[in-house]
Amino acid sequence: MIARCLMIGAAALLLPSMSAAAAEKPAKKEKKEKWATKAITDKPQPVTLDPAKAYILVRSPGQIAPVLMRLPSDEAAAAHEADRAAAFARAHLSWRKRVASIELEAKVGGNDPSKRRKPTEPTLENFGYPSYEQKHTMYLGPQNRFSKVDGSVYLQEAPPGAYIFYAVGATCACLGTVSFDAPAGKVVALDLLPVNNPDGTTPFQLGGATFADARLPAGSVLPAALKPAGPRDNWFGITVDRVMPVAGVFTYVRGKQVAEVAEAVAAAPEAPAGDPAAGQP
Amino acid sequence: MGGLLLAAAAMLASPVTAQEAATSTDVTKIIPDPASVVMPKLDFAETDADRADYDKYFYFHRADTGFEEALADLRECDGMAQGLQSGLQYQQVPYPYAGTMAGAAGGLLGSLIAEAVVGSANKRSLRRTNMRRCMGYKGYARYGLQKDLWQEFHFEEGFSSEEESKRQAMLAQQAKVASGTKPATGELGI
Repeated sequence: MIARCLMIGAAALLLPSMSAAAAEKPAKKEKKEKWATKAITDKPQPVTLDPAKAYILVRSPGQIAPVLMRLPSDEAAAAHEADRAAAFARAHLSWRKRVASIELEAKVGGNDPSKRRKPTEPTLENFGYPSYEQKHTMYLGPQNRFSKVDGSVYLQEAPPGAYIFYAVGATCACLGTVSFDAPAGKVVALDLLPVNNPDGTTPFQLGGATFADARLPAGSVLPAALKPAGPRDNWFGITVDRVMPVAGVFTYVRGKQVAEVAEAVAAAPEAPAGDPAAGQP
Repeated sequence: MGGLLLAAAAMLASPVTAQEAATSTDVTKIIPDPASVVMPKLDFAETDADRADYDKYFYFHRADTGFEEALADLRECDGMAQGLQSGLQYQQVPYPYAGTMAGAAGGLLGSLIAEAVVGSANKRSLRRTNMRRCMGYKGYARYGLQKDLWQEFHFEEGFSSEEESKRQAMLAQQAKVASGTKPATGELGI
């Protein structure tokens, strides 16, 4: 009975704290950015391109499962950072409530609150909020090919913007990848070849592709203009490798990309660990 | 009883102030004085059994490389090898892909990943592969080491992770070796 009274009293004391916590609760976001992509499959009819969408075409000698990610515009990066800050505030508030509850329970039970095990405090450094790229991931293949002539061709409709190549199956290009622009109303084409080297490494050979198909509008296909995009975190915990040097675009010096023509593309500002140093010599 | 409630009230008045004040030092950012890092023992009488295990037990070295640079490279590669998911002290609930096309398609990649990373042994093997590729691409040569000596300043990680302070202490020793005298033994390649 005494314990029950104590708990009720403690709960009453907790209320103002909870109210204050509720007041700190970040306001809900008004509008969410929509993210959707669509595979264009092998149909005999001509493809009608949506002028508001971009189209990414990946050609490979065999069936593969490429993973691409969209890079944020300045505006999208700012919005993403705001989302992350709000999510962090919610997580920290939740942690504080949990710690307060643990300490209160210990005190009421006559125990030393400092000896109770508490959850790790979320900090801006260890807060595991997904990057913009992770939230804007595009999975292609290995099925739903657009064409099976001379290999496998995948065609994906996606929002226009800049994209990075991230992985094929369970191997990522985390140690060095490339980006390319995908403008609205166009088909951006790239050749992709996963390479198996005798030393056990499995890098990716990428290049802009010249591709023609009568089902695509004349003049709509552009070879992807690749740019060095630096490393990316191993978000999925898979095997790491990299994109092979692209002649006239970039090479590697001691594992870091060195741009030969284009400027390196900066990574999303979110990354909680391992800030990518794109294109640094 | 009143005393207890008062104590509880006092605690709630500043529920986590002490916690917040106790700013945790990020051990992954500290650059130790190389002179304070113990150089591990590397010399041993090589046997066939040792050579058979060089795919597991090895260390790195690169010429013209300072301790700080080697430590930065090892930390970067350790992060790549570990994978971000297991490298965080605090994990946010995974982002809500449920119900989206990307989420549905992601199931395919997820199954591929699951197939590739089944079991603790496979995870340890994956870590070794990733360390070798990452350090190899950075120009570090790989040298074989006896298992007992290797275990003195390396760690393996399957489903469980080594405590961060221990990880960093071992990475510092690895950096001391990587930036030290060139080993007399043969290079193993990536």
